[in-house]
Amino acid sequence: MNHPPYDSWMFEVNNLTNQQKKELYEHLRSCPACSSLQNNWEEFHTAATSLPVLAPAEGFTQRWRKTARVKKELQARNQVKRFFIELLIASGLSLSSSLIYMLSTQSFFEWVLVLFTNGIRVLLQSGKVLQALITWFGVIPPAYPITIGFLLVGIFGVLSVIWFYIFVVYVCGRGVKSYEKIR
Amino acid sequence: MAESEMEWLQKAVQGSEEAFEVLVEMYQKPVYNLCYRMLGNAQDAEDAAQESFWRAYQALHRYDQQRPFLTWLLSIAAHYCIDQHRKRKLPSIELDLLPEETIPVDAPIPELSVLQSEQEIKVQKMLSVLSNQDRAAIILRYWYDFSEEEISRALSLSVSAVKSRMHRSRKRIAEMWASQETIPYSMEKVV
Repeated sequence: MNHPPYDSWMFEVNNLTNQQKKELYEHLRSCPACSSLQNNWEEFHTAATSLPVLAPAEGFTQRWRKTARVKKELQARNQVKRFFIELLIASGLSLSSSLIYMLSTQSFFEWVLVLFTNGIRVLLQSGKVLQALITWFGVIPPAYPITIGFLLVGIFGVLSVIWFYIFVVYVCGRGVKSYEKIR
Repeated sequence: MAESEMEWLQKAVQGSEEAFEVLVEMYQKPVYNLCYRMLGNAQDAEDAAQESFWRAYQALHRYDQQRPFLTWLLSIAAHYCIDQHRKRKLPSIELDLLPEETIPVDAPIPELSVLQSEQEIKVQKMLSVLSNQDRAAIILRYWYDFSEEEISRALSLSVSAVKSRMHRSRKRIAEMWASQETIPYSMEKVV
């Protein structure tokens, strides 16, 4: 039943002017339907506002801490994954675009020939470099090459451990398992 | 906002996790209460409250410090609960179709005394027949004393839309309140 403006006034009695309140109460006295609606609303309002604020189970903040930690792990893992995927896509794109460029500017046979001759040239160059290194190693005292060798092996070893750790922690999904455990 | 709250908030915005945990401790009740009123059960409310705090933590750099923190937090929670309803495609339902007991038997019990209240269940049933945004508007207005402007900001609606939603919801509740029988509550159902 619509009795404007009383059907909206009855829900906001506190916001009405004295004159509006007077008009509303006069209408409510003469209209049982509106009066009943207004009573129902008042009952609901009283019931709703008298209910206490509900609290979560004990330890909400501790659970939040755990959840946040696991979500951060997941985020980091996803970032590493995204980085690898982007790297893969970028490499694929650059490789395929250079391949397309080469194939469109030269015949495939010429391209293979250039690749082959350049490869041979690089090998010969590296042979010369190797020879120069051997000569150089012959001149300097024997302790230096051994030290350099140990240093290089050490650096590569440490880098391998770091990469292995990143791979195990972020790519193999240790974070996901612990998140599921908490859930 | 109290001075200590302001300090914690400043620290949290600057990136302190400990400070944000203090804020979680401070605001867990209002956020959980909103989620409970929106979703109607303790487990979903717990999950939604946790997720709301996580979203707030992630978006802390976007928080406008001119705005009360609780208002911002409740806005995040209300949006999340509305999204949850949409994702699960839970329609607002007619009162006759509602089961007698809306709180699952094995659900964690936040406050047994409150759940025992017949009024509690009756009010919760009333809320569950409203649409998601209408319910959010009513909860923010009558549980958190939000003004119509604050509700419109929190729910990303125009003030006139909030007014018409509020009117529609209040009328619907008023029409249904009397027809809703008081539900007898059995202790055995909960324990």
